[in-house]
Amino acid sequence: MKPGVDILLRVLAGFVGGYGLTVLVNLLWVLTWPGHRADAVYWGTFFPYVVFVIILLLAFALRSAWRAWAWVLGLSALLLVLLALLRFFK
Amino acid sequence: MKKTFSLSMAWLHTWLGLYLGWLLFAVFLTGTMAVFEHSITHWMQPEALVKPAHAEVILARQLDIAQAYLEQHANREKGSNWMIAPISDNHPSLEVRWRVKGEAHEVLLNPLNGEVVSTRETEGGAMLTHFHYTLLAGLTGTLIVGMAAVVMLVGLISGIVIHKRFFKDFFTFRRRSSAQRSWLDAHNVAGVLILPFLFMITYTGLVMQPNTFLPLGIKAVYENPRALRGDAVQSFEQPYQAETAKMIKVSSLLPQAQAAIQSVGWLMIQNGGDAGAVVEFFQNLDRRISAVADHAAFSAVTGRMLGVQTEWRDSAYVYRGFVGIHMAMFGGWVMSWLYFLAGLVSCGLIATGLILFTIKRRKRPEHEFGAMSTRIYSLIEAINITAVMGSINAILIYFWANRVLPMEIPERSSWEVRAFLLTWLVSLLHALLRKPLYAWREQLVFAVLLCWLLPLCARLNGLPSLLEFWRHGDGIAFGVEATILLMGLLLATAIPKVSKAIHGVPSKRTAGSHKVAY
Repeated sequence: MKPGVDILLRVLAGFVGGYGLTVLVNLLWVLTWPGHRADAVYWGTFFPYVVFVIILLLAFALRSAWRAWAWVLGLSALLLVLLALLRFFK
Repeated sequence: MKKTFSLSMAWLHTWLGLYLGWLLFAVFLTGTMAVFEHSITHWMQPEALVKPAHAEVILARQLDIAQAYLEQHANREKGSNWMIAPISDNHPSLEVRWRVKGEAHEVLLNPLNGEVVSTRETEGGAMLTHFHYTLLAGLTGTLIVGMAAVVMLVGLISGIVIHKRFFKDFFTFRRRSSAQRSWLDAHNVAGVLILPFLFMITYTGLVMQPNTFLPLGIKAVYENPRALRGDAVQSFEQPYQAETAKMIKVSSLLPQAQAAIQSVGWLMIQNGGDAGAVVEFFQNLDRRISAVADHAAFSAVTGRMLGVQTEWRDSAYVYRGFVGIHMAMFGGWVMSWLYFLAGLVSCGLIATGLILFTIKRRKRPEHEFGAMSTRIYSLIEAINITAVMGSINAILIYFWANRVLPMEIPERSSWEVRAFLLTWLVSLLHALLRKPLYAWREQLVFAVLLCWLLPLCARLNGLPSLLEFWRHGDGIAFGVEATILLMGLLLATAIPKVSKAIHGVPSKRTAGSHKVAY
């Protein structure tokens, strides 16, 4: 793969994937929080940004851009399944 | 992506740091200014010079003056909000605000006689705060700043990974060694010293804006996202009656309000002049770290107490705690100065990082852009100059525009902002036309002149300057101008260093090795 394409794929995995996962973690947190919905929202906004930072770091630390995408897509799929299950059982 | 984790992190730190550093410098610099937002606004309205006698006018009298003015000038209107901000430590003037059909009005009142203090039209320090989190580009700007904040956190972590030998590096400052070494050491010292501050300020900046950055989470449980605020801040509003009513003097409610919330910082009158008018007293935000204001509401017609909120939901209190430690409204002047200094060091960290990128490549070109490398390196250097010196000069030009633009031109405050924005363009053109080191020096000299000539410029325009501020006892305006002069001194110390680099005075170490070679 050309180095330019490799970098572009990593940038996309880091930023788009990173933000997407942040949103999914936030959603899962808010929807599973047992208390009041305001508490769910406030407590739920403090942690997800850490996910963004970790994914962005990972996107450039992993051996290939494909691995970065595999992680992003794998984790997204896992979170989406959890969200779907949550909807199903509610 | 590189052979080892460290090398990958170094690559990431270099490139994300370069591209986002350009933006982050402007964001950090305007954020540093935002600490003194109200002081800067006050300085930008020199007509509103305050005298020590103003602060001695008792609160009740200030409220009477403000209420009388609002009842005369603001209309009875459904959903109207009148605000009264009396004089306090960081708010030097008595101010009233209201909206007529969505159009905002702000007026300063003389607390001694109730007369309107007519001031020049300016957005003051608020414009710098606004730029800090929106880049004056609304929602898009906020999203860009948010992304830059995430990159800043990544930069901090990758920076720590690169400098694993942290503490060894930390105690090394090779000031007289080669230029690259000392820039690197300066970058490391600045980074390590304020690392906790940088993590705190960047993280809290992100967490502050859930409505913008994580709207889906709120929409998942709230049909109307505005209801979230209602679950944190109790509302004591009353329905609009569409019927004129005489309001009581709100100052007569002060003892009751003070008993309920200890101290009164500012107040709001909802549906003023209507039978359903409500007056709400808010506690000053400097009472504690978390930026929540206990509040007490009364009917503004009958004076009956409608409710008090002094208890806060834990989660909302922690959330507003993050807001509080970002905005530093607690801790008085000492805390403000600490934040200001930490902000300056942060700017220094970003600037030295940007400079380091080009110095390293000037010495040993890396051909990272193939045949175009030399050209692209000089373009990068020009953008570096624009990012650093352009931002500094933009703020100074904004201050100058405030002093020299004629009072009568329409949209005066927008012209101040245009001058601010245009400075970056001029800075870039200049940096592209001149050799890098000369461009650095000339823009530095320009900035120093802008700082130092400001009092003279004020004098020529018949405006008060440093000495008059001091003589009148207006400590805030004096403080702002004195700080600008000091910043000039700080910038001036950089000029001889650039001159030295231009004349190629070799550092001791290279001079020594030359002797050995010959």
